[in-house]
Order: sequence, then C-alpha cells, then structure tokens
Amino acid sequence: MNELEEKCLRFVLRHYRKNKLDTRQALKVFKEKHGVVGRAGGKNRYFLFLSGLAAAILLAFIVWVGISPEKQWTELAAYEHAVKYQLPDSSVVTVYPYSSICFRTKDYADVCREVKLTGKVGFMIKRDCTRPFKVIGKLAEVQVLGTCFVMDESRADTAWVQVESGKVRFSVLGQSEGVELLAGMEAQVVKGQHVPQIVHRPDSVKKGSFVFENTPLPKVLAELSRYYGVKLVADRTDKRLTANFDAHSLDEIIEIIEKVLKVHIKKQV
Amino acid sequence: MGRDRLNIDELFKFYYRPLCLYATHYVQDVEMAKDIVQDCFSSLWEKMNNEKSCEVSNMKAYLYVMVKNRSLDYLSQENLFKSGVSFTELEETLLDEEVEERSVMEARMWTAIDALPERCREVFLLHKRDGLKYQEIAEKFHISVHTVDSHIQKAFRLIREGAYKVYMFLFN
Repeated sequence: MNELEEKCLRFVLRHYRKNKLDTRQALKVFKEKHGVVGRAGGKNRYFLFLSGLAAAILLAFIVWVGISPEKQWTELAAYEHAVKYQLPDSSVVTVYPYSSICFRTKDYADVCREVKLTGKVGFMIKRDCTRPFKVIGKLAEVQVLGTCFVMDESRADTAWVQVESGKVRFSVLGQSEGVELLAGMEAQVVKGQHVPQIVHRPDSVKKGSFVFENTPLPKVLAELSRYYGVKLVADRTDKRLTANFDAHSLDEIIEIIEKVLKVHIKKQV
Repeated sequence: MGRDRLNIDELFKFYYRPLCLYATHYVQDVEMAKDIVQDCFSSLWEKMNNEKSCEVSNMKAYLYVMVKNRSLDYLSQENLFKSGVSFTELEETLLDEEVEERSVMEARMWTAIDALPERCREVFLLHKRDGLKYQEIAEKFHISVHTVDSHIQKAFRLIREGAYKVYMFLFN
C-alpha cells in the first residue's frame, strides 16, 4: 500500500465498527422523518414496473392464443397400421400408415368441416348440406357434402382421389376450376397441373384395397412399400401376382404373397 | 438540480458514507458525523421543497461544503478546538487538498472491510486496529499462525482492490 492508502486505512480502522455506517438505514430514517414514500424520483422503478406489466400481458396473450379452444388443433395419425377414427360430426376416417389429418377442434364442431391432410386417408363423410366437408392437402383439395372417398398425397408431388360413393369436387389448391368425381371414378393431379386428370379404374374403387392383376412382384412390393412406408424386398423378382388385398395389415399381405408365390419377403427400414 | 430532479436515493447511495467519513475527520466521532450528514441532507431537502427556483449546479461540492461548515460549527459550539482532541489529525486532514477524494477512498475501504468474510475481518481488525500479535490471535481462535497470516493477507488484498473499484451500489 502507498502512503495515501496507509493513511486512509489507519483512519478507517480507528473508527470502524461493523454496520456503523449503514446507508440503507440512514436513508430509511431520512424518509421517515420527511415523509418520503417509496423511492423519491423513482422513475426508473415506475418504468420497470410498467415494462414488467407489459411483458406479463404479452405473455398472457401468447399463452391464451396457444391454449384458446378456438385455436386448438386435433391431429389424428397412424404409424405402422391403418387406424379408424370418428370425427365430431360422426364421419369416419381411415388414416393409413404414416398419414394424418388435423383440424381446428372448435371450428370443426361449430363453423366449418375442414381438415388438413398428410399422406393417405379414406373418408366416410356424414351428409350435411349446410356445412360442406373440405379436405386440404399440400397440392389439392376436395369438397363434398357427404360421401365415401380416399385421398392420397403420399406420393411426392401427386394428389390422388378415389370415390366410392356420392360426389366430390376435386381441384388444385388456389385454382377455381376443378373436376366432379362420381362413384367409381378416380383422378389425380401432378404438381404443375392446374386441373386434375380423371382416371377410370373401376376395379380398384374399393376403399383402401390393393388390386393386382398379373402384376410383376417388384411392382407389387413397390406399391405396398409406398403405402406402408417400409421398403420391401423379395428374394425373387420374376414372379407375378394376381390378388385383391384389404390394406389393414401389411404382415398378413406379406404372408399371403410368400405362401402363394413361394418367395421370401424382407422389410428394410 | 431542481427538486423534481433530486433523487435522494442516489444521493445517499453515492455520498452518505464518504460524507460521514469526511465529517469524522473534523469531529472525530462517527455518530456525531452521521447526525451532521443527516442534518445536511434534511436541509437540502427542505431547501428544494421551499424554494421552487432553487438550483444546485454541483451537488457534490454543495454537500461537502455544507458538511464541512456544519462540522466546524459543531466544533465551535462545543469549544472542542480548545480541548485538543485529535488536533494533529484534524490539521493534517484539513491541509489535504484532495480531502474529498480521500473520503471516497476511505468509504470504499470501509465498504470492503464490511464485505470481508467474518473470520477474516475479525482477525484483520484484531491485528491492525487492536494491535494483537499473530500468535495471540492464533490462540484466541485456536488456529495456526499461518492461517492468521493468510487471513490478514487476504484482507489487505480485498481492501486494496475495494479501494479502487467503483460500483454504483458502492456505499450501501
């Protein structure tokens, strides 16, 4: 320590007693004596209080937006197996593997029946003339009053619709022009097209079925792989298959194909 | 500085402890110094309340001059100049041209001592203020002489660092 520091320290030590010079206590005494309430000139504190209040209101708003019933979404999904769900209006949907639909819970029940689709889903829609049912995919949309149909967007850049009963309107997102599909009809749209193309394939109208007629085994496996999201490989590729399958269980389908064609099929992730 | 701009919290935070030590140089009694400083703050507050047009351009200088004058008034009233109480120290302090800055450094040292660990402070004060030897302190606390030395070195280091640190809440 230099001379000044030594001198200062000597002076301090001569008078030092712990808590003898308590600034807070002195300020408190002063305020009591002069009736000063809170912090004189406490504009900063007032500002901090207002800032905190504003932040709290903002946080409450964000939470409200997040949990408000009007904003709540319901998602129905399936992973390895197709799953059937009943919607609030008693319509029934079959969500195929690795697919889903979601909708605003309150809006669906009260305002409009609108769902967003990912992958492949079969619909049995309860008729309601006052509230059309609308499916919105990434590429296209379907609007109905009440019918059975399947919409599939599991293939990249392709939307495909197959109608089992009733009538649906199938159009590209953002386009006013669309096509009307009746029972037994199917149509698809590829990215870049403005109007869906109608494809007739009456044999495969059955919802959720696989129809193969003398189809090469690699092609069969490719279609099954696409639907179930699992790569299927057979030890022989020279076989052909003619069969109709219900698409509920992949394992059952594989077992049947293995027995009929005497091949061995492996799943690869 | 008008009354609306008089932030009494900030004034206390910055000047209360240095002013007390500054007054102590004159009156040689911390309790009396505290009373003088409280009176000065009260006078300032009332002046700002009663005289709407009152402006103080240099609050620090104003407070130091007020504290000095009140301290000298007190000494005159009590006739302490004649009693010879610490007159040598008083004269030395009053001749110091940087007495204000010195009171600031003393306030920082006071704050640093307050902030020392309990045992460290006790050991340091017994040695430096009360004049006990290392061995006596070691026996009193049942610790080694080496530990006493460590406490004292640590206290010196922290006080020295504290003397040059500037915190907004320094003199709390």
